[in-house]
Formats: sequence, C-alpha cells, structure tokens
Amino acid sequence: MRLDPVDAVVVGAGAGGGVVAYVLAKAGFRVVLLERGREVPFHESGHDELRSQRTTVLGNAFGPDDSHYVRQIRSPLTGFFYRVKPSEGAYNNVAACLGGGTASYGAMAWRFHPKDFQMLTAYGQVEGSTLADWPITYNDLEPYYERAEYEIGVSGKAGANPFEGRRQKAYPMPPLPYNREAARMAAGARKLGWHPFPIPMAINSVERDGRAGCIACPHCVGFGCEADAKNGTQNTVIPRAVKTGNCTLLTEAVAKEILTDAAGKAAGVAYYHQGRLQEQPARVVVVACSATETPRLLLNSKSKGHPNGLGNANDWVGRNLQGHAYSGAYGLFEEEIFDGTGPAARVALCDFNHGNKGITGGAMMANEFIRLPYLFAKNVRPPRVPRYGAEFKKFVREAYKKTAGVKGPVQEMPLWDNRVEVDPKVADFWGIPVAAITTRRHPMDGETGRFIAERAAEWLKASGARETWLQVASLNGTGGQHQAGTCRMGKDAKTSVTTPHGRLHGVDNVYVADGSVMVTNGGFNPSLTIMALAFRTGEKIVRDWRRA
Amino acid sequence: MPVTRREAAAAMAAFILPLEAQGPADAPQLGFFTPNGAKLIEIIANILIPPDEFPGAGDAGAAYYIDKQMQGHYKDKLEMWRAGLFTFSSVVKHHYQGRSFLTLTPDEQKEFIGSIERGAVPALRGIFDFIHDLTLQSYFGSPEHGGNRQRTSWKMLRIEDVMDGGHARHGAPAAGGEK
Ligand SMILES: Cc1cc2nc3c(=O)[nH]c(=O)nc-3n(C[C@H](O)[C@H](O)[C@H](O)COP(=O)(O)OP(=O)(O)OC[C@H]3O[C@@H](n4cnc5c(N)ncnc54)[C@H](O)[C@@H]3O)c2cc1C
Repeated sequence: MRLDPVDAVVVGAGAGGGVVAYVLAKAGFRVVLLERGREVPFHESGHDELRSQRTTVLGNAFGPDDSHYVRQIRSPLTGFFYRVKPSEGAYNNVAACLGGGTASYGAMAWRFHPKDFQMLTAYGQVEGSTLADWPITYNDLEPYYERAEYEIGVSGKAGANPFEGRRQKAYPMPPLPYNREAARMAAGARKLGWHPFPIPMAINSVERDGRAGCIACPHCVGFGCEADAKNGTQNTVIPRAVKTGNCTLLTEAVAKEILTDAAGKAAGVAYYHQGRLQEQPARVVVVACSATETPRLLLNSKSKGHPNGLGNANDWVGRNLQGHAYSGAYGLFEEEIFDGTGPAARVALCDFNHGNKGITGGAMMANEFIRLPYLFAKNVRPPRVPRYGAEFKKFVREAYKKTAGVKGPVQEMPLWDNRVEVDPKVADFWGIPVAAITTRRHPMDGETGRFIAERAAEWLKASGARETWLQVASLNGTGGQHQAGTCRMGKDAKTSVTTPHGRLHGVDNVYVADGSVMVTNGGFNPSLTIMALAFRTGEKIVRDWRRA
Repeated sequence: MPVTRREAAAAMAAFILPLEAQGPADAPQLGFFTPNGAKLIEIIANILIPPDEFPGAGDAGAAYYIDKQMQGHYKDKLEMWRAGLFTFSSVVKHHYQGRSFLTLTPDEQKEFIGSIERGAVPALRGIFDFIHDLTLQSYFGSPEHGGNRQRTSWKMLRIEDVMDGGHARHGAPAAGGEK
C-alpha cells in the first residue's frame, strides 16, 4: 500500500538512526522511523547469560531471531559460503531491536583519537590495505561528540586522558567510581608510568533525565539495564523524537528496498509490516541499518538508473568491512580482586593507541567487562590447565574471583576484499536476498594484536598478577559487534560511497548514518563516534532539506 | 566399519526416545533421551566436571539441560547428535570387545574420554566438543534451562548475589518491574 508522503524515512533505530530521527523530528521534519526489531524490556531475559548479546548459545535476546534471518558467510577454511544463523558466532551480528546495538552494549563512550581520522597521513600506505584519511578531522567532529555526550548522557572525567583530542566541555556527569579491580589496575599502570583513567560510560553516575543512577550491578554488556541507568538511543533520543509529535516509530517493520523515481532519485522505502508490503514515499531517505545491513539494503535497491544497487556506481558499497582485532591478556592474582560491582570495565589507558614502533595504530586498553560464568569456564584459563576434569573444576573455582582481563579494540587495516555482497539465491523470511560476507584480517592486525596483548600482560603483572597468558586475535575474519566501514565517506566519488556528510554520491536524497560511513574504525569502541557523525549528518539534512 | 541402517537405528533406539514418546519441551521429565541415553550423558558430564564438595555436572542436571535444548534451540543439530552418538557407541564397542560405554569401569570410561581429548579418535572430536560445550552451558548457565541445579556452580563460585543483580543487593527496584 502507498502511504501518505513524509519528509524523511529513517531505516534502522540503532545508534545512528535513532539520533538522525531525533534531529530531524526536533527540526519539524515529519519522520517515519522503521525498525525491524522490537523493544526488548529488561525482565524478558534479565541476566540470563545463555541468551544474552554476549553468549548466544541459546539465542540472541536482542535479536535477530533464528527463524527469520540467515546469512551466507565465506568459510576461512574452505573458501566457500555456508549458511549461518543469527545465534551462531560467524553471523557477524550486532542486534535487531529498538536501540540496535545500544540497547545491550557495554556503553563505553569513546571519542576517537585525532590521529584515527588521519591514518594515511600519520603512517603512510600499508601494503595490501585501502587505508585512507577521513574527509573530516577530529576538530570537525568535536562539537558533535559533545552533543552526543550531553544528549545520550555520558559520565567521565574530563582531562584525565592526556592523549584525548581537544575538548571544549567537561562530561555532563562525574565518572563512576573504581571498583576493587580497577583501583588495583590503575595503581599498577601508574607504577609503569602509564596514564590510567576512568572509562567514559554512557551510564548515569547520578540520576539524570528522569532515570536512575547506576546501582553497581556488573551485568552491563550483553544485557539490558535493570535500573535503566544505561543510556542507549532507545531510552534517550528515540523517545524524545517521538515526543515531538513529528516522528512515527514503527517496530517490526523490515525495509526491503529503497524505491527510486525515473530521475534516479529516491522516492521512498518499501517495507514489510504486519505481513504486508507497504510503500512509504519521502523526500529524504536515511539508511542506518549497521555496516552489514546497510550495504545489503543499498545493493538490494536496484533500478534502471542504479543497476548495481544504490550508490554503487563504482563498486565501493559493502567494501572495507572492519571490526576490531581484540587482543589482550588474563592475569591470575594471589587474592580476590573481583568484588562483584559494576560496571566491571572501569579503567582504561590510551598510551598505546599510537606511536608504537613498527606498528600502524594500536588500541585503547581497558580492564574487561564481567566474566560471565559459562564464558569464563569455556575461555579463560592458562594453557597449563586442561579444559575438563578435577583440575579444571578446581581452577575455575579458585581462579574466578582472582582473575582479571585486559584487552583492547585493536585498530584494523581496511581491506578491499573484505566485503558484504547479497546472495540472490538465498532469502530471509520475507524473501529478501541475504548478505554474503567475506572477511579476513591484514597481517598487521595480528602484529598489533600481539603488541597490545604483551602490554596487557605487562600491565597485569605490574598490578600484582602472578601468572599471565595472552589472547591474540586470529586473522580469520572480522566485523562483528563493532562492524564499520562498508560505505566509506570521502570527497572523491570514485573511491568512496558517501560525501563527507554521509550523502550517497550520485543520489541527492539518500544518506547513510551508521557505522558504515567510517573510513577507519579507530582503536576504540565505535558507538559515540557513530552517534556524533549522525548528529552532524542530521543537521546537514535539516539545512539542505528544510521547506522554504 | 560399515553399519547397516537397521543397526544404526537399533543403536540409536537405545539412547533416544522415538518421536511419539517424546514429551513437551518444558516438562521436567526427559523428553528426548531414554533413561540409558540420559545415563550416558550423566557419566560423561561427571567426567568433564566431576563431583567434589560440589556436585558434578551430571548430578547437576546436564542430561536434563541437553534433553531440553535438543528439543528446543538445538533442534537442527539432531542429525549431528544422532550420528555422533552412534559413532561414539560403535567406537567404544570396537575398542572394548563389544562392551558398551555404560558397562565400562569408571577408569575405562575416563580413559576413553581422555583418548578423544588427546586426539586419538578424530571421528569423535565433533560430538565430544559439542557435549563438552553443552555440559559447560548446563553447569554454569541459569538453572531455568534445566542444568545448574540449586545453583550449584554459582554457589561454588560464590556469585549468587552477583547473578541476582544489583537490585537484590542494593534494595533498588528493578527497572520496568514484573510484568
Ligand atoms: C553486546 C555489545 C556490546 C557493545 N559494547 C559497546 C561499547 O561498550 N561501546 C561502544 O561504543 N560500542 C559497543 N558496541 C557496539 C555498538 O553497539 C555498535 O557499534 C552500534 O550500535 C552500531 O551502530 P549502528 O547505527 O551502525 O547500527 P545498530 O546500532 O546496529 O543499528 C542498526 C539498526 O537497524 C536495524 N535494521 C537493520 N536492517 C533493517 C531493515 N532492513 N529494516 C529495518 N530496520 C533494520 C537493526 O535492527 C538495528 O536496530 C556493543 C555492541 C554489542 C552488541
């Protein structure tokens, strides 16, 4: 059915989409916000580890569900594609619910380092990589970082990170206090002459915006927040957008394709809702489906004027998929350093984001989020401990509260062949062709990973660990919960997908506002950067498309 | 070692109930395993996580967990499960002069599992890894899924309060409340 036209359709109510919908609705645009998932309330799966967004062995609590979705993933072993369900690790999932990844994220709220925007200038060509500078700098984005910190709500200590770029304004909330582990780790880092500080978190350290302050339960990452003190788009900008009266939010609405007119401009979006195919005409379309689903939607939007998919005249859509080559170490301490209070990840340092000899980039390093019991038993033990039997059980029992982990989101080198395509022969529940993903990592990512893992072990030892062991990322594949880069922004239409403001090259009225536009993925968790970019893109849309 | 379809079916019938005898997924009884099938899993689970002051994984409900998940989330792993268990029984029979795993001594049972872990029986690697993973899930996951009876592992790790969440410790109401 053809619906009444609106000013803008925003597809995807995650980190980026939620922000753009809010900026547009606040400026008086009539907006329809489409989200394929639904709202997931805390009590639905609570703290159930086996059905969280952390361990999905019994399913993804925050979607998507196995019965409606599937992807084709190229096996690093055989080189062939095989079918993967959302609850299987290889699927490369973020989430499918109101708030997208931000409903279950760990809520670390990082600004990238200024050099993260200028990787090519800082390091020069890296063989085999499509490494490039962003078309914008940290200073261009700084006001939008500030806006994101205030609109979403971030607690932190301004000035505590000596490596941070210029900051105009302090955080809106004071930092959350260190727990026992973080205090020990901070002291250890200082002993080494490093610069630890409390992690900026999108978590209320005090009551704010009508919601509670953190009650120090450690289940942040992978779960909803039982006190609703964790700030995602689902409990900040999206309800604010709806409250303006200008934004209609439709959940369980699955976009099929972007419709175009005879001139090749976008005319609206076709989507499935309650079993029916609807057509929503709009002056502007904003795609914010995450770095896998956004290229899928663009590639599925073929027409006479766009035979290879929308914005894909030069074959860049879906290329350069990146994640983070997470690497680090675990340490076993003499005494119990686990005190059960959260957020468990509390202390970080940026001494190794850049300036590492022989290495391109690096990573922020932080103590690890809560070690959930099943994941601990499965993954955390030194090589000397077997994975079953009396000795294994004794280790898990004695080490659980004496173990700490440190790791970092190692910045990856983008690769042209790391890509999202669509497989016309495999369809999801609605008959829409699914994403087919091919990835591997650049050898540099392994080197950086090892370097970061060694620093992690050093940090743990200085903090009192008597035994440490490394975990270095494999080169087998990437993407995952920090996926980015598949619709790179740039000034040159031949080597990028969008303009520096996120508008598709060659299509005047379609914008991308999610992790896809990032040229490189920094050595940090990406959500605050995605939100900042979305504020910037949203403002640009308002400027360019406001009715006279 | 070639096997006929009939032999395979007979071997399987010893461990898995026929479809029509399987109960609803959330019933507290077994709906997938026969008593012997459950026994086999219990023994293996108790080798993987043996009893000490705290119950082993078999005693804490591993078979019930797997029973429930094989009728639920892991439904589409059924074929792999059947084939794996069949190979498992065949290899045991071959190694121990026709005896079944259930009739081996505890030391022999442990030794057999150890040989799989050491890589001596590549054909059983897949099913063993799967049973290992499911056993850890059952023992450390939430009791609502059929394992971790009486929160055994959470008691052992002394994290019952942590798993209950912040509101339980701080007296603050949980967001959204009960519905
Ligand atoms: C467990 C977990 C922990 C994390 N921890 C952190 C952290 O501590 N710090 C941090 O910075 N980042 C973290 N992240 C990553 C962060 O959540 C993501 O980087 C971020 O959400 C990505 O934003 P996005 O806008 O690109 O996509 P998303 O937030 O994934 O939003 C995309 C939305 O589009 C919807 N969608 C997709 N296709 C369609 C369609 N066809 N029709 C309609 N809707 C569609 C999806 O359902 C989804 O809601 C974490 C993620 C997870 C899952």
